[in-house]
Amino acid sequence: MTAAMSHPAVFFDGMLLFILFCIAALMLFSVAFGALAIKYRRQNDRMAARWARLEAEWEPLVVAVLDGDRTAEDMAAHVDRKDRLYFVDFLTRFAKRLRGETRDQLDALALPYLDAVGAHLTYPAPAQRARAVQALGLLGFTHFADRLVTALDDESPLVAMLAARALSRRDHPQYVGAVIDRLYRFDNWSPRFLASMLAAVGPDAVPQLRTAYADSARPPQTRAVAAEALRWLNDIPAVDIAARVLEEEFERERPGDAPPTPANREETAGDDALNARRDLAASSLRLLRNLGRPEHARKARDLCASPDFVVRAFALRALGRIGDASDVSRLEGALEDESVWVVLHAAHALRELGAETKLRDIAARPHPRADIARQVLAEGVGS
Amino acid sequence: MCPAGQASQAQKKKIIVGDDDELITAVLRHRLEKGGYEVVVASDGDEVVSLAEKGGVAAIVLDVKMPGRDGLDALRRLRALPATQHVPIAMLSGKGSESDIVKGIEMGADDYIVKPFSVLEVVARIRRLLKRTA
Repeated sequence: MTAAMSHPAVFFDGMLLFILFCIAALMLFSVAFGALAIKYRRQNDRMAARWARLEAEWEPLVVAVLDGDRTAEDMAAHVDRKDRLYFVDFLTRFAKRLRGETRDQLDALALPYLDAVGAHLTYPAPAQRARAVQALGLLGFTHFADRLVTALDDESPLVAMLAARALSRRDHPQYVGAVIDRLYRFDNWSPRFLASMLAAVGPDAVPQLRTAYADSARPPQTRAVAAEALRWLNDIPAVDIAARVLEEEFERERPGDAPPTPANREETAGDDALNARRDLAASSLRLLRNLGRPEHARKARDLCASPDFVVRAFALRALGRIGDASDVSRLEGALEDESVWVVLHAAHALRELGAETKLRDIAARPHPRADIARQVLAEGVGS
Repeated sequence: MCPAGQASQAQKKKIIVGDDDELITAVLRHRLEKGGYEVVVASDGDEVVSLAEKGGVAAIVLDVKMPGRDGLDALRRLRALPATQHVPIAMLSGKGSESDIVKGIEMGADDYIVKPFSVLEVVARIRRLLKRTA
């Protein structure tokens, strides 16, 4: 037994001292933490006030330079070396709002400051590299395009995506090939978003999009995005590529075939390879539907019995546009499909062909798909 | 420097620029004032309407998206007011779809300019609108 424990008064005095010490330490810690928070807050406020002051000083000067009333040299006298990056950030706000001659003047005004931004492309923090890519894409594209192409291979997918967006420009279609080559890096992005990015390049992108779409060595996701972009660009010759892709990639899958992956189940999220193939089939069938001619209907008919419900659904939907009266019985049969998506697309196709008899019949009686039939018929009334 | 004739030709016509974006209003104000116009800036639809109601306005540039009363709502109000129903109005918008443009024109806008815009083009369009209504 220790001496302290043998004398309770000494023991409790020791405990009391310890508790008082802990309380004092906690209070000290709280005061120190509070002081630090106040210090950072004040620092931030000072910085924000300084930036607001700088912006107020720069804005009229920038406007005057853009209008030719002042020169870039006049402006340089008001931009401290340590404020160069912030000044470029400030100019990007103008860049997003302007085009034409004034925009060209803005680029010229920004140019002397962009080397400092370019240095950020190699910084370790992805956020800094991303910011640099954005600024260079907006204000220094012609001077920094090669570095933006390099940024397509940045280890950060976000930086790579910003570079891809910066390089997908109608006025510089020569970079679209480099973007298409890196599409495999963006498989977490929506194919529709990627297609819209590529379609924004315009008709000059078409030859490279066609080549990528037809190339079976490319990842299915890349081909699907290329097909979608071609559809948005209304590229009629792409329909023949679509027919070939469907024949080569999907017609071999016959009803009763074991799907390569659990293809006939609808709960297959997470299977990237399967989803990429489905995207390719869906994009190809959408191309047929939107731009195809009646002779392309055969390709869609061949796929109406695919083991994959996604392929079946889009094949049936295509028939609504490029099919004819001979497809009605096929579509009516698909109203009994085990997949609700197939039923929905078949119902839409029937409505598009003006063959609603069976849909009305199902809608009017107790039937597992009566809700879908009613929904599609109601949409027809509204449209 | 603005050509002397340009300012006198414009006779200091008053133009309201309604946009909550300070950079846009700064750029437009500078260019229009240089072109010999008097420019009044408003940052929301209500302010545009109340400034225009006072009369003496030659043209209005109106952003579609503004806090409070938006540009389309302000346009509707301006077209209903006797003092402003014939004042030329150019809409500014980030939305460039066919349906947005048709909607703006059908609601009474005389012109529809899509952002990002060319400052020179905006000024030329305003000048054309002013000539048409002179």
